[in-house]
Amino acid sequence: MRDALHRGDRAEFEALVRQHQRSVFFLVMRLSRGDEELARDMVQKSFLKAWSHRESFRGESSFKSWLLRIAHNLALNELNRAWRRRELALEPTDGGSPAPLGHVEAEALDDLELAQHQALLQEAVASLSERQRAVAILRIYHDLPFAEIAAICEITTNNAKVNFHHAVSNIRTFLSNKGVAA
Amino acid sequence: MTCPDDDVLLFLAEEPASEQNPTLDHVRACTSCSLKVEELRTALGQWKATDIIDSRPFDDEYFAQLATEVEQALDLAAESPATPDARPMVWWRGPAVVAAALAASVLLFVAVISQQTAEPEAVASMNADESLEQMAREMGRSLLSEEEDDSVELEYSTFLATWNLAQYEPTDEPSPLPLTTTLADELEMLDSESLEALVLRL
Repeated sequence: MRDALHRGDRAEFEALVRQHQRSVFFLVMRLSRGDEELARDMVQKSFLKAWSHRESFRGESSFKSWLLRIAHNLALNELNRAWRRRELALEPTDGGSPAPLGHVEAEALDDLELAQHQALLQEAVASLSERQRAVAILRIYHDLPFAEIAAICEITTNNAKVNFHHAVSNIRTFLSNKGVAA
Repeated sequence: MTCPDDDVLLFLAEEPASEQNPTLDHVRACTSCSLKVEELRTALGQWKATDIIDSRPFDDEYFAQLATEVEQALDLAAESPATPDARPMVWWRGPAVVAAALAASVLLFVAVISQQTAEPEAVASMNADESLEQMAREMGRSLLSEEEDDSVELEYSTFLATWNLAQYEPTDEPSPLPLTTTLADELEMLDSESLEALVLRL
């Protein structure tokens, strides 16, 4: 695959796009608290950057890790810019509940409970530091091993484990303070 | 064996229960530790099941369209001579603007430095002019009163010293002060402009 990339094999690359676009999209969605437009934009930019820098892929990590590292960096830059521009509403916009979760329709009680739990969990994850948030998301929702998480976040494996431990502890504390058993 | 720290228990909670290691053996035997591991395992399972985004609206069709958009963007990037990362240059980053800004900075710097050096010179020049005027007046009075040439000689040498100081520029060699001279000698040494200026002052 590395050789195909270095050769500039478009067909091979397009297969990689279809294989990994969901990971990039959902990573950015989770990092940005559900900003779909940003996630779409980052998918496009990540693959464009991966294509233009395909020569620098050495195959030491998986293509997925390499791609997620690009997406992670691009997303963080964009989120930081948005933060500076105050375009990203970090505070709840509807007077209490966190940012919209999408198309959750809380018609049934179960759905309502799920939506409330989802909102609280989203808030808890959002309260983490940038690094803890990325590590927790990659570990819990993307099922990546710590070595790959470390490669994506450009930290050591031990640092990734420590961040994960702190992230879990902070999420549990946050939920506990909100009266939710965790 | 003492109970392991929470971070160790967290990683045990993530590991498959079948794995063998001494810590896991302890946890299985210890009620407190096994309870903590079970709590962590439940919490992580709940968080994973809940997710923090709703992924249901994003189906295969959605991603097929997204992949097409990515491919189109790749085509556009291939057609464009610029790299995909290249951003359009904003006006304030243009080379002409940068050069103009640099030139303006240099001019400002030079102006500030010149002002700083010019101010003491101006003050010194002003003081010298006042002394010169006063001296010339005194010399005039001496000439009018037809005093002895010796006293005029002394006063005029002071006048010339002041004159030279007033004309002094830092880059020039300091002109030697006339220690002994006569009015006639010095008048002869003066050029026409200086003489005219002196007469006007008198």
